[in-house]
Amino acid sequence: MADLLKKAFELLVGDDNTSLTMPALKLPKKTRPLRKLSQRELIQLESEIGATLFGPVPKGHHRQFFNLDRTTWIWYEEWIDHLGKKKSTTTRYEIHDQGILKVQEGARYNFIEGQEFDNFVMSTRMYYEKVARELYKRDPQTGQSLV
Amino acid sequence: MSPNSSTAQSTFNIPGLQTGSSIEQNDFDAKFRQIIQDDEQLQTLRQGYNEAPSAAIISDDQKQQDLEHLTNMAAQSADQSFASIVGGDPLLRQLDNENPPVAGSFTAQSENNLTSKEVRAQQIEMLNAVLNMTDRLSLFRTEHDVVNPV
Repeated sequence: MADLLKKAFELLVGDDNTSLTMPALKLPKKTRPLRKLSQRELIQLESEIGATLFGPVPKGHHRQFFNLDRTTWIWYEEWIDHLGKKKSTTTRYEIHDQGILKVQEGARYNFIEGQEFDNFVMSTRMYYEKVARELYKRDPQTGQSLV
Repeated sequence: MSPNSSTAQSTFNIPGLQTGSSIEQNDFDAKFRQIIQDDEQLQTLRQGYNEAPSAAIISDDQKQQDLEHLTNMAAQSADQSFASIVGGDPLLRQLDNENPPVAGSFTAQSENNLTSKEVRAQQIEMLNAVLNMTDRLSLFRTEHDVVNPV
C-alpha cells in the first residue's frame, strides 16, 4: 500500500526525493473506524442491537432498547396508528435497591415483579452479551478482545 | 509508527508489551478484573446464603413472629381447656374450624416468609448482576475499540 501511494505521489509531484516526505501521507485508520464515536453515538449503536432482542419489529414500528447509564434502561417504541398519526411510548426502568422501578408516561410507575422482572433481567443479559460481542468485539465474560 | 496505528492495534493483547496501547489494555484488564471480582464476591455471598443454616437467616421480624406464635399457642391451649370445661360449645368448635390451629398457620406463614425471603435474595442477586453488567458496558464504552462497524 505504501509503495502504491509513493508511486502515485511521484506521479503527482515528480521524482523529487527532497520533497517526498512520506510521514505526510497518513493512512486512514481503517481498522478502528468507530474510535471517534462519542458515548452517545455508541449507545445509539447499542440500541440498534437492543431493538433486535425481542423478535422482529412490526412493520411501521421503530423500537429502541438501550442502557442509558448504570441504573437506567430505556424502551422506546414509535409507530403510526390507524389514523396515520405518529404515536410513541417511552418506558424507563430504574435499578433501585428495592427492585426495578418501571416508569411510564402519565406518572405511572411500579416495581416490576415475577415474570416481568425475570424477563427484564434476561433482556439486559442478552443485551450485554450481544453488544459486547458484536459492537465492542469483547468476550462478555473475560472482557478480552475478540479480534 | 503511531501507537494508534493498525500495527499497534494488532499487538493490543500481547501480555507485558508496554506500548501505549498495551498500557491502555492493562488498565482495561485491571478494571475489568475488579468488576469480575465484585461478581465473584457476589457468588461467594450467594453460596454463603444458600449454605447458611436456616436459623442464621431468621430476621428480627421472624423472631417476633415466633414469639407471637408461642403466645398464641398458650392462648389456644387455654381456649381448648375452656371448651373442655364448658362441654364443647358448638360455637367454639365452629371458631376452631374457621381458624386453623395456630401451630399449623404458623408453619404455613413461616414457609411463606421463607419463600419471600428467598425470592428477595434472588432479586437482590439479579439486581447486582445487572449493575455488574452495566459497569462492564460503561467500561467498554470508555475503552471502546471497535474494529468493524455494525
